[in-house]
Amino acid sequence: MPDHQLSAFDTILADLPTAHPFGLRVEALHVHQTVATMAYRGAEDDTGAALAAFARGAPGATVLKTGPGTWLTLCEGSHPGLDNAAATFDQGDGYALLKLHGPAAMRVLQKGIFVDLETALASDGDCVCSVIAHINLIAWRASSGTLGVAVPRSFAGSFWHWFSAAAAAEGIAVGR
Amino acid sequence: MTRLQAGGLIDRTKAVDFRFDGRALTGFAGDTLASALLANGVRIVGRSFKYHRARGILTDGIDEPNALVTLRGGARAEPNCRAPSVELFDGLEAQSQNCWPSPSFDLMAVNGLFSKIFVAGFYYKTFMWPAALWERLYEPLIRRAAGLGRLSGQADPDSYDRSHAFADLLVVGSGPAGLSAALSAARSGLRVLLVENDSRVGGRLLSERHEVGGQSGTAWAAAALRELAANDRVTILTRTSLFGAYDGNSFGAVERVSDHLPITADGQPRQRYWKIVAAQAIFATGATERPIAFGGNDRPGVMMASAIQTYVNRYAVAPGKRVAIFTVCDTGYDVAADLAAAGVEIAAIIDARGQPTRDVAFAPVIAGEVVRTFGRSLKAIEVRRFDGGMERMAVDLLGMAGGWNPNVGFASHLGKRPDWCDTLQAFRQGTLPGGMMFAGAADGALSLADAMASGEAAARRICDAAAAAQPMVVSAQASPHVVSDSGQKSFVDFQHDVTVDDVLLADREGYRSVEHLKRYTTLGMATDQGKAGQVLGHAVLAQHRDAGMAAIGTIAARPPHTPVAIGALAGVHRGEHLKPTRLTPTHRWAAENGASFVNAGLWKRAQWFTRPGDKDWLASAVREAKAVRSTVGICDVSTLGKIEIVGPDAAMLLDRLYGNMMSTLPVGKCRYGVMLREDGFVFDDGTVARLDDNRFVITTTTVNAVAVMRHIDFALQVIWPGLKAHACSITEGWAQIAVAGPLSRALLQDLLPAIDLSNEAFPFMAALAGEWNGIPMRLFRLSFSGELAYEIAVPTNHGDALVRALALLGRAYGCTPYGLEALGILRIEKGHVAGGDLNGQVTAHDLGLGRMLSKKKDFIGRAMAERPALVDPGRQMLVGLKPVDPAQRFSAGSHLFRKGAAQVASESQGHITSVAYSGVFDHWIALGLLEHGPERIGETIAAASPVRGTCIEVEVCSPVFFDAAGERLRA
Repeated sequence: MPDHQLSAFDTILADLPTAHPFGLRVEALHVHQTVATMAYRGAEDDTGAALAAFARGAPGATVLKTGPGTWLTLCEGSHPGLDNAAATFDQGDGYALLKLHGPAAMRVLQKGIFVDLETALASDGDCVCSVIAHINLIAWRASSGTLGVAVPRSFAGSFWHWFSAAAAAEGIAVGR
Repeated sequence: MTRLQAGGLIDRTKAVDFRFDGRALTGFAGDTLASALLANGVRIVGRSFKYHRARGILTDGIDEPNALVTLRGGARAEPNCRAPSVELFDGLEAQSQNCWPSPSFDLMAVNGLFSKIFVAGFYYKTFMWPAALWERLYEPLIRRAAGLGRLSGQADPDSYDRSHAFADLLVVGSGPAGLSAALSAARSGLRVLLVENDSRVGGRLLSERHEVGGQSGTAWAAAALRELAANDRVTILTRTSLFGAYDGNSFGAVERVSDHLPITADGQPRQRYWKIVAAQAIFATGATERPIAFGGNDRPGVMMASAIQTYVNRYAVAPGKRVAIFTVCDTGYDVAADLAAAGVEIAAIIDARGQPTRDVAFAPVIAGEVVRTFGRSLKAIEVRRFDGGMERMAVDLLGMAGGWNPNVGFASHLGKRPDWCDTLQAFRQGTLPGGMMFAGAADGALSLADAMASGEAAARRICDAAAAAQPMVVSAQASPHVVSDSGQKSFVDFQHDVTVDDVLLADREGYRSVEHLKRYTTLGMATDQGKAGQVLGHAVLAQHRDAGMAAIGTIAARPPHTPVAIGALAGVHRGEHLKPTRLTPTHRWAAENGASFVNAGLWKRAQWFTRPGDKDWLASAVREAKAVRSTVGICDVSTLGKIEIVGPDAAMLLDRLYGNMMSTLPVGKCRYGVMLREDGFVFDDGTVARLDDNRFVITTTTVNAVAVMRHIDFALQVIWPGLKAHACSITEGWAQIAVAGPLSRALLQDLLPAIDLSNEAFPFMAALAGEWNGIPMRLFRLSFSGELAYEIAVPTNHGDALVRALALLGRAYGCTPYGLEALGILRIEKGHVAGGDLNGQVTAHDLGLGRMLSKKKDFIGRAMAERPALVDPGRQMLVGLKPVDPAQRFSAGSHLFRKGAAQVASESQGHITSVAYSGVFDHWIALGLLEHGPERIGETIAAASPVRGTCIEVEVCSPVFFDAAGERLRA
């Protein structure tokens, strides 16, 4: 493998402190595959069911419903074949991924997202597609107290500028 | 000092030092700047806008029109801060405004001598002629005179924050009605957001001496606050001004996070802009006391009665030693009672209702009206007794209790004007915007009990839609009061010096609508937006026209309700962060290699790579282009749009999107394509690569990446929803690097030893998907430069590694990184169109691509592209241009004229779209659009730039300057 495999957030987070206590812990998320799935007309339910089954059987896989008939899958192994039901697109490293740990995560994200996260991310797996600081963003609830964030890779620096300023304005210390 | 010995909500154990106009003063924690100034005996705090009349503190809140000051200094100087709204802090520095050298002695007060000239409409009437002076003299003069306060002229060093809030119920205002509403809703389990402009909750409870349930109003408010704060479904924002109501139950507010602090903590913003969405909103915004129009009612020492009450009860300040109260409502009696209780002498209560409603032991009550006032700062008043005679009375403080105007402006933000209520003798909100209610004094319930009941009832209606509506109690008031024949200026708008006479003048001159009256006289403009005096001005108009207030009406309030700093709206989006920035996968490598970057949309792209000996950017670009022509160069082209089209009908979709045929493209091949808009003009160009039967990758120009994606989505979702195909942008997912030049094959073969890159195995326009170092890789044999060239793509995270590997292996071949400028030179030498050539007004025929458009299929734009005017051979068409004198230079945008023709717009036959200095030819070359272009090759014409004042002779030539046969790219 090449020497310089740089996730956009790896370099950005490298300077963050690691000592405790933190209001908010941030982790660059690495996955083997990021796949966008778009169901063909009439096959939305079947595709959704197939992906849900895949998520149940694939440890660590995350299937996010990003819109009507569309999903984003983050997984370590192979993505299920859906050739007759849906088009799949390998997003490669198109998204820079973060995990945000701690109760302050929702508070900071809410500062940028004009969607009510208390209801939109009420349960694990809930997902919201929105915009923060003019940057497209997918946010999801990975578990209670942990949120996932995906932004287009080229925007990672600008997203982090917003995120760190938004946390600092609340007096929230961010570490990794 | 006028500080009372006891009482107030100030902390007397914490002295606060501050300066006003350089003078060192002291107040207490809990003071405002206004209360501290009054406590220090400062009566004159500024000068009025037009006449430079001495002005003092009129009110106790955001409606203050007079006491405007500049806070802080240097880059942090902030003009037009209302002293009653400024919380005192240690080290605060405040400067008076609109006066020189001081508010007590202002040389510009000479304006007052010309007050008979400076009436409403003065500017409109005076600066009419001669027209020659409009811009040279009048405008500079007017601009110099205009405005209140001065900006620092420096960049704001503070930071600002933005946030969002969502709630079932938004309660605006934390007076008795607001707190009652919030408590009721919170107890019902609603998610409540309570917004309060003040630093403390309680509203008028903090200013008055009421009891609630056997405890003081202040104690009740504190208890309510404790209950609300303990409820995790309740959010309380103090120091937060709601400034606008907008569609979709959304609201704007600004929180003053650290305005009240001497030093902000690291990262702490100055202010925070809130966007709020609430299913329901209760506006318990209270009421504003209205002034009374009489002579000299603007004199320092004349204050709103309710403000006097606030200063006495909340701040323990007696703003005068001998006080008169001029009233048309019972408020005047309450204020007088509070003053008397504080030990202040009451000279008289003057009740203009004719029949005093109360007889009080502590002061004489006179049925009459104040006619005029005396003293630079108030020394005396003259009272007209209704039982006959005039009486001069020595007082240093006069309170005006002119009745109350409910604060209903937020409904106007959504288009609902208030109606005149005869009982209340004020404008009250009748028709309500959806999701909005008013409660308490804002709804005309002026007594404490009524206000609390109103707030609770409003919340109950929200919690239980089936609840029966309660009959609302509306208090009775007297009408706005105007004293006639005073012989002195009688003001209705204090901030803009609008007098009763100005209103009458406007009426005489035909400005009778309240909206016209506002624009003509400036009544209700400026920072206070006429909160105090506007309705009084309307009353003057109504009385003069002998019309009812209902007929006269009032203006539509618009956002912002209170001034908002631009910085608060911008938040972190300022300077280089005004817009987000996109960095390419090789950005770090490029920066390490001396790249200068240019904005290409949101992208930062390497423009050139400076090397020792490069005398300027052009030298760098020419060196890089020459290297590509002679050895090999590498360039990050990841910013080009990349879209995958997948599905059984993908090929059919592409046939319909592109002018040329794509369904015949074999797997493993690329094809150049032109996409038209519906109107037949060229939309974008790029390549299509077929990776397997049902999977294609198309490229777009960088600038059109989003537009093309949107175009395809529209086609799939609206035009042909039945097609079994989908499209998805993969621009972010793949790093793509162009490897161009005669030695590019050798370099790539070193990188990819397992793949046969010979011309036979991998010819021009070939494509493959494979692996590089165990990661997915896509390789395309494409050439934008006209050289033997490839584009290699890997997942973005590996882009940095790829470019470093290419640079390292490329050392053996003299590999040179090249940027956008060299890319431009290479493509212009080759006659490839881009950027300015594809300006949205050209057809495929114009670009010499007409023959690419298929006659065998239908596609977007086909029908419109065949309109006669779009295929007219006389259209401006793509040509090459070179200077007759090779030493001469031309510039993009130059107009093209026949040789000897007048250089006027009507003679222009086209223009230059792209220019470059060609190192190969050692002179400037250009692409341009020229009438009958291809027919005029060899002709000498003129290229003139009126902007630069240049005109040179140029020869029309083929747009393909270099390797017209295409031998190099097929090598």
